[in-house]
Amino acid sequence: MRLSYYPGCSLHGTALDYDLSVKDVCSRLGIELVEIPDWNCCGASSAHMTNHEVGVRLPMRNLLLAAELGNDILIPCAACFQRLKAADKIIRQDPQHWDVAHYDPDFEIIHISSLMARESIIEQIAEITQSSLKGMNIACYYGCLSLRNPKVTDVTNYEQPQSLEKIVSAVGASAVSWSHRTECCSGSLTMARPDIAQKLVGDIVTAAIRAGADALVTDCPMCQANVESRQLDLGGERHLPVFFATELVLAAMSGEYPAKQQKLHLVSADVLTRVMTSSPEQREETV
Amino acid sequence: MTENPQTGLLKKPTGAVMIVGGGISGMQSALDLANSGFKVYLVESSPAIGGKMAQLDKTFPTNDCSMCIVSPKLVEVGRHRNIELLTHSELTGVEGEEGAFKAKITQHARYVDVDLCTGCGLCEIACPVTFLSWFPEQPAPGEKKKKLKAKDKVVIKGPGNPDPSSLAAWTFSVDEEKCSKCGLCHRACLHDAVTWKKKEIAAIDQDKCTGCGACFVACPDQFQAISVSNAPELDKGIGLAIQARSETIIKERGGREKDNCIRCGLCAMMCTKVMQIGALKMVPDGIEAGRDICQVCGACVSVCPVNFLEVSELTNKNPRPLYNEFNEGLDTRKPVNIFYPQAVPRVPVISEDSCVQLNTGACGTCKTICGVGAIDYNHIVKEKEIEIGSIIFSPGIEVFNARERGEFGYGIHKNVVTSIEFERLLSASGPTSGAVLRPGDKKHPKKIAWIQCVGSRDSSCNRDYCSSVCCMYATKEAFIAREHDSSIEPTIFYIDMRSFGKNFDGYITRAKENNVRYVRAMVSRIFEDPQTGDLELRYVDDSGERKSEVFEMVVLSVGIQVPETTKRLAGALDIDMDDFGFALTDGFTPLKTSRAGIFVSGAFNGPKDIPETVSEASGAAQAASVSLASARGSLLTEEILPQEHITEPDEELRIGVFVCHCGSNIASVVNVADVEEYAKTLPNVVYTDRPLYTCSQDSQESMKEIIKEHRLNRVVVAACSPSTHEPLFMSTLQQAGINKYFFDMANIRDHCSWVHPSEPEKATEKSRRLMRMAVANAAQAEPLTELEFDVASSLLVIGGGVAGMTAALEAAGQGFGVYLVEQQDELGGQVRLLKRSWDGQDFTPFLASLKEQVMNNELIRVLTSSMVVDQGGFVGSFETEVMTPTGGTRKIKHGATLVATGTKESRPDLYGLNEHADVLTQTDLETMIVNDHGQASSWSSIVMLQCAGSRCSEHLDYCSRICCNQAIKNSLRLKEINPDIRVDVLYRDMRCYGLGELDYRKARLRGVNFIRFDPEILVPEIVVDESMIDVTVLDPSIRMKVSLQPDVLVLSTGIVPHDTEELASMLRVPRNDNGFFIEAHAKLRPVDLPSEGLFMAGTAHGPKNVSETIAQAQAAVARASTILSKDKLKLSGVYSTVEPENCAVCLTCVRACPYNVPIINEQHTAYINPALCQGCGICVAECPAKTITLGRFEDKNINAKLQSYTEAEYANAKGGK
Repeated sequence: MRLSYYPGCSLHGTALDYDLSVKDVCSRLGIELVEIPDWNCCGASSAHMTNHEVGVRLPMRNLLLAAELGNDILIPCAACFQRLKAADKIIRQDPQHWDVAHYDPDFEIIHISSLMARESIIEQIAEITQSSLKGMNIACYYGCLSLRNPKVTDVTNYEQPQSLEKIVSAVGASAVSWSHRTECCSGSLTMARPDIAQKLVGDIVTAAIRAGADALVTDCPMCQANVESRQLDLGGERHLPVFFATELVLAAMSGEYPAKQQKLHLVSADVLTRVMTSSPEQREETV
Repeated sequence: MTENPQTGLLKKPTGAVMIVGGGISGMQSALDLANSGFKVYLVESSPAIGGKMAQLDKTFPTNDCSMCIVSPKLVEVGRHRNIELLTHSELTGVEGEEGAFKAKITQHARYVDVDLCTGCGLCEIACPVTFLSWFPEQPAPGEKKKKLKAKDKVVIKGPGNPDPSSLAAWTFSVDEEKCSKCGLCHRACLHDAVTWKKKEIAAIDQDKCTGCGACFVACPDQFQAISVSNAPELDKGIGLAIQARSETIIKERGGREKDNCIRCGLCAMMCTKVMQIGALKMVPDGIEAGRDICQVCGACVSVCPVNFLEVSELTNKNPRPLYNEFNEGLDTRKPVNIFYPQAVPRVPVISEDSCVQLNTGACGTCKTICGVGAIDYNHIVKEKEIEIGSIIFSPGIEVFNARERGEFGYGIHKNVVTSIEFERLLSASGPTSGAVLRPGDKKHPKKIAWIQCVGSRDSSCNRDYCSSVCCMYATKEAFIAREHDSSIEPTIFYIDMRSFGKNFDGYITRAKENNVRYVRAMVSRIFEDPQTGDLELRYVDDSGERKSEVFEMVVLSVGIQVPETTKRLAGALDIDMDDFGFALTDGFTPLKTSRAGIFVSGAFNGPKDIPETVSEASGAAQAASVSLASARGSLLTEEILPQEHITEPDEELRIGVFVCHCGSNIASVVNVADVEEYAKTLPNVVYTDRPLYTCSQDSQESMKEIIKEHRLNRVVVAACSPSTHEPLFMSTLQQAGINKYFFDMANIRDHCSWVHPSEPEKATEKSRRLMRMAVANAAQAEPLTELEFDVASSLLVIGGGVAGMTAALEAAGQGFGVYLVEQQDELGGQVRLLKRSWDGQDFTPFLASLKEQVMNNELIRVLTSSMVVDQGGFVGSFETEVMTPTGGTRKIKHGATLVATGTKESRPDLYGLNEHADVLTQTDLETMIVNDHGQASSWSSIVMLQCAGSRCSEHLDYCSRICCNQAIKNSLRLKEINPDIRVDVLYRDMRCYGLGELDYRKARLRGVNFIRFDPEILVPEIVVDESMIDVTVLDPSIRMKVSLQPDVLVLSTGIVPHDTEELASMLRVPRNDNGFFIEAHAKLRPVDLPSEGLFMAGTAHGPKNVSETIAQAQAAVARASTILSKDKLKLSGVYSTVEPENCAVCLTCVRACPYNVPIINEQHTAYINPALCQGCGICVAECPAKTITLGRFEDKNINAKLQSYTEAEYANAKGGK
């Protein structure tokens, strides 16, 4: 499989490790990624809220570049995914308005977890996995942008998504049952209204702990940064690390979780190391 | 009639009707048709008729038990000689045309013979399979079956080593002739009981043998050298023998507590010898399971007497429980299954998906237990072709798939259920026997929330319509839940309270008084607490505040929808449907589909509740039979009753007593066996029985046989209420050839188990006494004869509006004469003042055509400016005096009466109505829109006030049902004329039920403002004076006061019935406080008046729109046809008789009779016309000379009962029980 790859700014900045893990996992799965040459901002930050024109024209340039490549586009960042999907729909309706003579590219815009949750790839992940994460209880956390608005994302099961749960079980971990999977993490308010951000993150982390989770896993760089960092301000005894889905999959596939990677987390991520170094039998007793 | 193209002669149509769908709609249509002379084929895809109503617990607004009121109908349909039931069958195609259709029916294989089966249910008990198996691959024809070899083996271990038990052990021995000396038995034995040496025959040491059967299991199939003896039921089959031993062990151990393996070996024998899989083997420390070859049928688990095995441990596959569809998957069933306890026919179906025998040829246990040989694994699908004249399509609905509203977590959060699941939880015959238990942990929930409009009024999931029934059923469920457990705190989250039907608002008020809480809010999301399973609901309340509240259980009030399979079938039949799959019909022919000769009824014709469905069902029966009238009676089979046995005066009394369990209704409180034993001790009782359901079809069949076999001449049933079930039992007596009055009932359900649930012993004692009294009474019974008389085949219709005219035409179409009496000088009624129907059609041409047809029909006599002044006679033979315009009276003879007196618009002196020119009613507005285009278009702003003088105790204390739709219709018209007009509708609840919701949405999209007010909080301030209209109202959606100065104020004032006080007392029929006539039964007899032979239609019954009125008029005619189509009718044998000798002509009886029946005749003595007497007995009690007697209730009957009671009392005082 060959996919065009749109990393977006987060994956070149705060979520650099997400970028690396996506690339590594894809290469192990035999998926060739072709980074869209000279890609630019997706318009997610301030553009789409300030100016509709700019909000569409920014992602449009990326879409036009991708159309030249022809492949389906893989996007790990939920916000980038949302913006490119939205722009694609808007332009298809009236290309002339956007000064495009003809716009009808035959590509699919794919978010990373919906790719990994495809049945064939899930089977492949389970096969490649060297070190099962059995014994690790994970709260799958989706946030909002990769699912909603369904008219933009085309996701059908947006209230009760299953893709992260499928991925987590493919590497042997168990997904806990909890209800805050698609709650807002307050990503857009994290700077302006830290009071609200703290409350929302607090609700999410408390619910995950109550459900018996050792960690959260997400597929959105904003959620990851926000939920992991904000919970520290809340105090409390327990904190949960927030892993990227690809980070877990890579650890399970490679059978190792490098200390360098672990250090990137603001909340101790040693639960993953512990699980990977103990035998499955021991885990059942200890966890 | 259809014309024969060859001969040009009129060909007689086929006098039969096919009904598709056996729910309450199909059943009602079937009964009305069959009782008025037409042959009926009732096609139902389920294994039994009954439909959704059979699944419901109670019904609104009377809280009647759904099953109790529907089961007499089930039985009547099941035993009706002119209704042919085709259950487990599907209609596959229809050819031909109206009057001469040919339909193809596929009858699916049932594998149980409907004629032979008695419905005993033993097959279901005997079947060991509890899961949907993964059947092993079957050998190709001619190939030998390969023995399965397990690769993935695990040992199921208990807390210690197995503890062998020899309880009820079988004896195993080696058949020396068959033994092949292989030694497998020796190796299998774990007790060293089998001795064997190479090339020698094995032998079993009976002293060491524990009877585990390991040797028997190990001996290869081709030798079968181990023989079994001392095993009860083995003569019938190994499967039954295994179960018999399992039951014996359970009994001897005193229950089925989970315990360590006892080495009974039944699991391994079941797996190898019955299922022919061989996945289980006994090993020293437990049971070895071949996980890869296990077919996951669950048979081993169901015979394990100590619950040692768990299915999930035995296999590497996911066990798939067999969910019980009738109980909405809340519990499980066997592959052989009777659809529900009162099912008609009560005949199981063997499921092709899950039955082991049908898939692998193994097992076959059910066949070995069936005593009548009804099970036949070789059944095949049969194709049947039937000829009918018309078709009624009433396939019913399904509920919305709640998973589509993912935010509520249905299917994920265990304690979130749908409303239909909750019905089953409430039902006595449901999975919890009526205990309100939440599915997650079987705890009794206290706080329960209902969320309304899940899959209704929701354009996001293409369910734009209102499902019409949910507000009421949620209220009922909340109400009944509290009846089951008074500590329950129900809360209903709703948008608008759509309690628009007759007496519905009163029901909501009672629910509120009974601590049902209502919160006007749409819940946005449900969060489950992963530890407690409790559910947090988030919503925004009236004040705009975000709220969060925790409940222990949530019920989703799911809407109703047309199933995809129905849409496909309707499509194949060329029935046009709307976007949602509901039938498309014309508002003036509401029951006629797009294909001539096919009619529609029930919720497939738009969402509706049971009474409206029943009404439509009767209406469809009328619509479907009117064109077949000339073929009436042509395909009927007459009932031939056996010669009635004439009792001799000295004949020995032989009384049979049947004590009913009523499922668990009676048996859960009353000790039924004890009551039956007691009956045996009573004088003259020669036979007793205690059926599970005495009223079920099979019980009735067997009762007939028992009466004949034991030569019974009196029958007593101790069961439920005679008012619902006596006619059924009496007709069984008739069919058995004895006088139907040789019968009595004791109501040990209503009077014992239901009222004394916490005192089982006393309830049992009371049951014994009631039964004893009934026996004493039956012993005194006299045979009574029933009078037969001729029926006058014409119909009197009172009221010449749309209902009356429609009914007149429909009845004339059936060939009956009609007298149509109208008080006004012109036909047409209230509709003359209206302009357009709710579906936008013009009333004027419709009315004109209706009038013309009525006036030109030679069977209809129209009497305008006339009124009914007196009615005498009785059902089938009425005599009515009508005053004509000349002032003279005219006597009319007729067989039935139809009341269609209608309503008029209410015009209360409110807000300047009747004074101020700019204050109008909705009807005034409609007239202005039509008559003066200029005026309406000149308005720039208009306010409509809903419920003006409605739903309030000072004016009309009811909802008029039509005003919300009328306001929307007029708003949309105004917006059409002038898109810029501002329309504000002030409302309490927008009651745009059913498909009316679509126009409500359209009006909102067109910019009509809807402002809600709550009269309990704040009534809109409206000031009307010469210069202007000033309206101030608090708009809750913006939480601010809004001030409006409209050009006109339109009041939705509702409708009031015409004054019918005199008429009602003349006809001796009751009206409610609001002046609407009261139906015979709110749910199942919506167009019948309580007196026999009287019916009603239209708004005289309660508010309704024109389409509903037309359907109801058709329904009333169908009901009347069941009388008018008969040549003769029979009257009850129970009536009062005056012995003239002692009559003092004191007039006491004349005055006491509530029906004005007694008269003083020419012989100067009181006379009671048997045909008019209602048998109430008041005159009997009042007569000072004691010279009036009433059959069945003579002094000797009453004395016998009293004496029997005191004797029991005496026996009790002496210490005997």
